[in-house]
Amino acid sequence: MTPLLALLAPVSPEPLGAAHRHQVTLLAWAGVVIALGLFAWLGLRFSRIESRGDFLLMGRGVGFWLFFGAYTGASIGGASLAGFTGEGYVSGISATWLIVVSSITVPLFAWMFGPAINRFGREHGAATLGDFLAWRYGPAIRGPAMVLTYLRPAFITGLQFLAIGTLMRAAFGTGTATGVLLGAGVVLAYSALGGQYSAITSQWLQALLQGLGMFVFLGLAVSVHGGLGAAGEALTRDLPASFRDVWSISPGVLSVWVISMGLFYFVDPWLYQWAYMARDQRTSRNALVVASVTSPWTAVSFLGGMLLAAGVRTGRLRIPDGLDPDLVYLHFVQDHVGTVLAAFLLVSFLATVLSCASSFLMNGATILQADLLEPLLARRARVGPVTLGRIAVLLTGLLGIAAALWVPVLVPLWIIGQTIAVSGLFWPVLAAWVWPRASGTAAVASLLVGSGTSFAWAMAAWFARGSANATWHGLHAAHVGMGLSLVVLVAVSLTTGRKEAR
Amino acid sequence: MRRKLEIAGWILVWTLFTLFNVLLLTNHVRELLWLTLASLLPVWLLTAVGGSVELAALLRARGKGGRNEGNDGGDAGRAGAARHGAGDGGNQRG
Repeated sequence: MTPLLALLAPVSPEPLGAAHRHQVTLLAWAGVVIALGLFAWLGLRFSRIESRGDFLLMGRGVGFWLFFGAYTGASIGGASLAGFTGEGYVSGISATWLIVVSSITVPLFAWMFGPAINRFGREHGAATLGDFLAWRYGPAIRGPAMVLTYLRPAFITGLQFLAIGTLMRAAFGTGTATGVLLGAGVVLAYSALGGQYSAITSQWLQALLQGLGMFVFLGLAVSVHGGLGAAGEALTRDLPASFRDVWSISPGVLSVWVISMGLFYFVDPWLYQWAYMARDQRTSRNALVVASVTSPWTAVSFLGGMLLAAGVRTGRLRIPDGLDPDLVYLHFVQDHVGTVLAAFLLVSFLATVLSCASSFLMNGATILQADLLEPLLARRARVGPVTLGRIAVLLTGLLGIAAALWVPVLVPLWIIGQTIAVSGLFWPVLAAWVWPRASGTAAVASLLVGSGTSFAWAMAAWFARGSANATWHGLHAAHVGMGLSLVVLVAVSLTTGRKEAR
Repeated sequence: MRRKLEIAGWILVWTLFTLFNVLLLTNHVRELLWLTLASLLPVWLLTAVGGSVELAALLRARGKGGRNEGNDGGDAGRAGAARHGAGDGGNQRG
């Protein structure tokens, strides 16, 4: 065993028992208090916010490294850490396609559109995808676009609150609801106080904790096998062939992932916001490209899960049969890892979830403020833009809390929400960039038909196959929605486009 | 110097990306594990150092009572925004 791995040890093959768990919990609480203190300090340092752009977009001044760190922290949430560890544990490397498709489409998006979005934002004070669409197609598209773009960040915020609740219950012994409220309270406090300033800087700090935690986790998973060489051997020798075959995925599933986890990023309101926030056009392109193609953390969870599975198969690790795959990470950390490292990994897990939560909370709040509250209130209300931003943060946070507490199927909702959004938005947004003939009427019609048929197809699949994300008659909701959306956009543009052409 | 650093950075980035995907798509799981472990700490360190410098500058700027002046208040884009009656300074939307 190398000295580094010796430092990371010990990992016990057998569960270490209730007394050990208790020690881990106590130490982790101390770590959580220190970490929350740091985030609160950052929130207070940035509490003097003067303008809408400061609150929603950090004054359009996010530098390369803060961008890289905060984006990495925000894009890896509870599902990416515990969920992907479970995927690696149960089915191996093929689920990596979930991240591979986005590591191709996000840089492509950033390279093609990042600088232009950044410039557009500065020239027009834009903060959302809806701002861009309303500028290109007219104000009628803002409402429907707002509905499609707002639900995803709201659901993901709820998912992260729920992940905090689950973590607090499993690791700290609180009830899930108490954990949700506690976690949501913390995120809401520093986000409402310092807006995007405290969200981005906290996310960067959380990404450091998260990155170190993932490195430690992978090191510990390696040490289950006694060292790097043996771990490599275990991956190739002790797992079924399908576990290490990235092509052991059905083409149908892959095509759905390409659309909902790949093409979606061309119309992702969250990415638009990142592009607006960058310090300049180069940062908007470079940081997004680098963060999405070189972040080595994305593979950690899958590889860690596979190493744990190999450990179980060879008797080096005892994890109960039938354990929920999503809980494999927490079980390993709490029951098999030494006290100090286990406590650190729990704090790091909390940081992972918080960073994702605050980023999507701010994204939802920005959409709510820019695309609904401001047009709705216009000049009728005497509420300043920063106060309005804080109200939007609180409203989005409350929706996230409600979703976490009372909607039991958040993951399917998030995935199907993403499918419906890409079905309605993909062609109108792409046409806004590349097809001058595309008209406002066509864009609105395309958006409504694409998202509507996608929603209807998903419901039909739900009743017929038991899952809204399943194929029905060989087609997924995204296939149908995107196809019809394109037909409507072209047909209506060709009949109305010349009149409306700008 | 800055230009050379940027070119070196891009070479490193695309090399890492290509290596990662070639190993993944050819099912070289063991080598993928080595590459992941080897690249984690250097990337983490760069993020920590680079981000600390930027955060310190941000805190200094805020401490002086101003916003992120260097990047926001003074750039040509905001001037353009002001000319168009838009921008982030007030309730007005472009």
